[in-house]
Amino acid sequence: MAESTIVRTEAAPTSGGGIMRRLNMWTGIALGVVLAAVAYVVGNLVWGGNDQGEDQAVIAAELGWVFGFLIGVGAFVAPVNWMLGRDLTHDDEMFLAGKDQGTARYFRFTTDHKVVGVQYLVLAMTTFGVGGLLAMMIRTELAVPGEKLFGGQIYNSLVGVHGIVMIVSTIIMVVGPWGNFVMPIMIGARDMAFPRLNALSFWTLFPAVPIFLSIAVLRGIPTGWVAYAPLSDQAPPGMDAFAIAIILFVISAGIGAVNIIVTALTMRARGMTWNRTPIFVIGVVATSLLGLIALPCFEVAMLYTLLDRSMAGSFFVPDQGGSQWLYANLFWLMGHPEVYVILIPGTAAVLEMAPVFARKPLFGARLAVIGIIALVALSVLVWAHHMFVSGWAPTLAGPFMLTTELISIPTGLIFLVLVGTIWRGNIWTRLPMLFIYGFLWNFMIGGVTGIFLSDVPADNELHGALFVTAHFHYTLLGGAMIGAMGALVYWFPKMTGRMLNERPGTVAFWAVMIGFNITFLAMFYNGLAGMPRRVADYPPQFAVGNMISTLGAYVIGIGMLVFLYAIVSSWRSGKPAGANPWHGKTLEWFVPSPPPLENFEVLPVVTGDPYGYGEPDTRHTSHTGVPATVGGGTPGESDEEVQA
Amino acid sequence: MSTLEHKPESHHLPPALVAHQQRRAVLFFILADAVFFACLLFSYFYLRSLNVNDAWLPDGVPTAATWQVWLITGVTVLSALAYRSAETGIRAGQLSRFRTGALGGLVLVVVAIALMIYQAMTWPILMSDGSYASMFIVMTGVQFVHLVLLLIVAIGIVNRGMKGLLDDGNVNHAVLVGYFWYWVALTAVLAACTTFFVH
Repeated sequence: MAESTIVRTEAAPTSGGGIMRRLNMWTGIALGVVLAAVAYVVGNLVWGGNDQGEDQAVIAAELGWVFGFLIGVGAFVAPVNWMLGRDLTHDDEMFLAGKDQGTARYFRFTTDHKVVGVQYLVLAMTTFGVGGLLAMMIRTELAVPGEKLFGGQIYNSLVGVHGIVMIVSTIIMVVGPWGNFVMPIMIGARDMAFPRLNALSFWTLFPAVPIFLSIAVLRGIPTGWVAYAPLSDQAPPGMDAFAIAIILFVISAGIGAVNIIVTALTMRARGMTWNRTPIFVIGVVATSLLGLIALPCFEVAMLYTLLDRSMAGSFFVPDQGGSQWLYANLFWLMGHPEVYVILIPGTAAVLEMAPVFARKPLFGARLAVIGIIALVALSVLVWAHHMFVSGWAPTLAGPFMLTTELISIPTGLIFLVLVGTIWRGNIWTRLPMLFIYGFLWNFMIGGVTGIFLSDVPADNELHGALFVTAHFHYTLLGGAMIGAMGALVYWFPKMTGRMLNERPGTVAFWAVMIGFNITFLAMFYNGLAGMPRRVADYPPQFAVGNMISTLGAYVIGIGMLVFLYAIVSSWRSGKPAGANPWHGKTLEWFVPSPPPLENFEVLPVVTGDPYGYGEPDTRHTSHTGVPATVGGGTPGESDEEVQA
Repeated sequence: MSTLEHKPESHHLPPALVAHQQRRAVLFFILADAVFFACLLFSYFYLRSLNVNDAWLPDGVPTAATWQVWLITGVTVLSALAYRSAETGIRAGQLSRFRTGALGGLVLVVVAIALMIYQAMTWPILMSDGSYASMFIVMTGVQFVHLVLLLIVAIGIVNRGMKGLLDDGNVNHAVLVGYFWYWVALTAVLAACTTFFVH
């Protein structure tokens, strides 16, 4: 880098020409609202007298919003140009990449993978905020016996919306921000394979958020996040919003997954064999593949739900030849792989961080890869353990118990790799390291309690109890979410050019960890004592445990607010980070922080293991590449010593 | 000190790599669609096997006309064969053959869509007429969406062919459209075979 000066010779993109340059998020919202209103009015006029008229009008309005928004934000500009035989010029592409547009590029159909990563991060944090607020409302209702704040119907809606918002948020929280922002740089690429698809993936998800929120004004969903039939067939129009939002989410996730897979398969730097590919990249690719084949099952289930509701379909209505088991099978064919879609990226991020802060190579890296692949393969063979008590195929309970117990083996392998990496390491106790410890603790509890639940007799006893709620929160919130928070701290300097303030960050970590364990250990206790889940009221013998859970939840809430403060304040005025504040060896640490457009001027060449910490003669790359321009940061002083 | 002069073109990926990426991407999209389609087939046979309350095909409810299904399927397959001929032509540098074949395929897609609209206007069943009716209608609907998407890309590729944007050195988009076209034809055949099993 010091040896070369880069002269950019291309002209700045022209400001005029083409509707594309005038479209942005606001034009999308405006057109979306207009088309939604028109569709609703027309829908009411056409179908108003039907039994399903209200559902049909709501569906029309939601679809109007989606298509209006996508047209207004410019999602169809390039496809229409392709149809007309007018391919985009280099200027157009630079404009789409957000060149010289400042913060406005975050509100456009911008294709730069780093912009998309930031957009995903902000969206995920926003939806987490909504989901967290709903969790606080749920816990407040449950603080003391009796229905004090909400009736049962509203409570059920709160639980359902909290569940689905959190599930969607946790699915996107690592792959969205870091799969887009960091992964291409990690593999030595200038962008994703399909930058426009990347933007399309985000902007398809964006209109789903107001649709999720519209559930509240459409009289809610009484079904919980699983949306079981036949409750879903009888639910108010909020169920239509739920189904459309899920379909949008699946489309968005599919587009993003294909992009990530193809990028990783075809754009890795020269010399980056799979053995030299960072574990985070492997985790993200495995997750994307799993999501690609699992999520369409949910899409089909939601399509049937919409048709049952709006056209008197017979898919889940037993009187008309339908079956709730069809729904349950389709849902859980997605539902269990989805757990690993959430878990694997957070785990891979933790595995990525562990060698950096233990200053030693990733222990048994191949075992970790085998573990991830085995998780993906087994996760599609365990769905019926969610249906042990449903009465579906009792003779299959044994085989499904076996496959579910088998899945603890690859999970254990990954756990072993993580512990082995930290074991006798030269531990550098910075904030990301705390999150690694937190992940280990929570994930261990979540994993072990999962083995209990895989057992048919135990599951028969515990399935409807709070024990299950505590288990999956330990896995998804305590494991994946803590891993995601660690990833945010770890890559925050790369994204923003500033260090995350570790003092409030550490306070947040301890508040979340302590609050989390108070909340959910108490929930385990109540669950074992027989308290059912999905209830707004309970007998007095569960009062103490519930009060403790609620207090713990408030502590989590406080911790999250402190974490948010740390992020916002550090983003605005944190200490400058330099290119490589953690002395990392993977490629993202060899470009400035934040990285410039197109990341590298000259692409890097990979010659070794990415985790050769403490091994003086190993390097991940002999040619670190040349950043495209010196952007918002400068290469850190530590670069030299890391390479030495 | 060396100077690296940066030209925009230098950052473009090699066309062969782009083509390779695009083909993989389309195949992965087809994989996702295949899972979606497999769920439909699973649903059909599952509900048929359960026959809950004897309401898979209740007494007095007719089945959809088989000839319509097979006619639409046949036209869709013919359109794929026409496009196959077009694709072979462009690979051999025969632009006129490509234009003729692709245009013929496009016309057949339009015919298939028109037939499907006629089918929907005349079929004797409603969604509420049992689970067979629901499954039949949803599978037909998905096939309709397939055909509409195919129509859009077919118009695009025909237009690009007419404008001379394709030749034997630049066949990638034609190949990509072909992947989708053949997939749509395959799903039409699979759906027709599936709905053949009524009782």
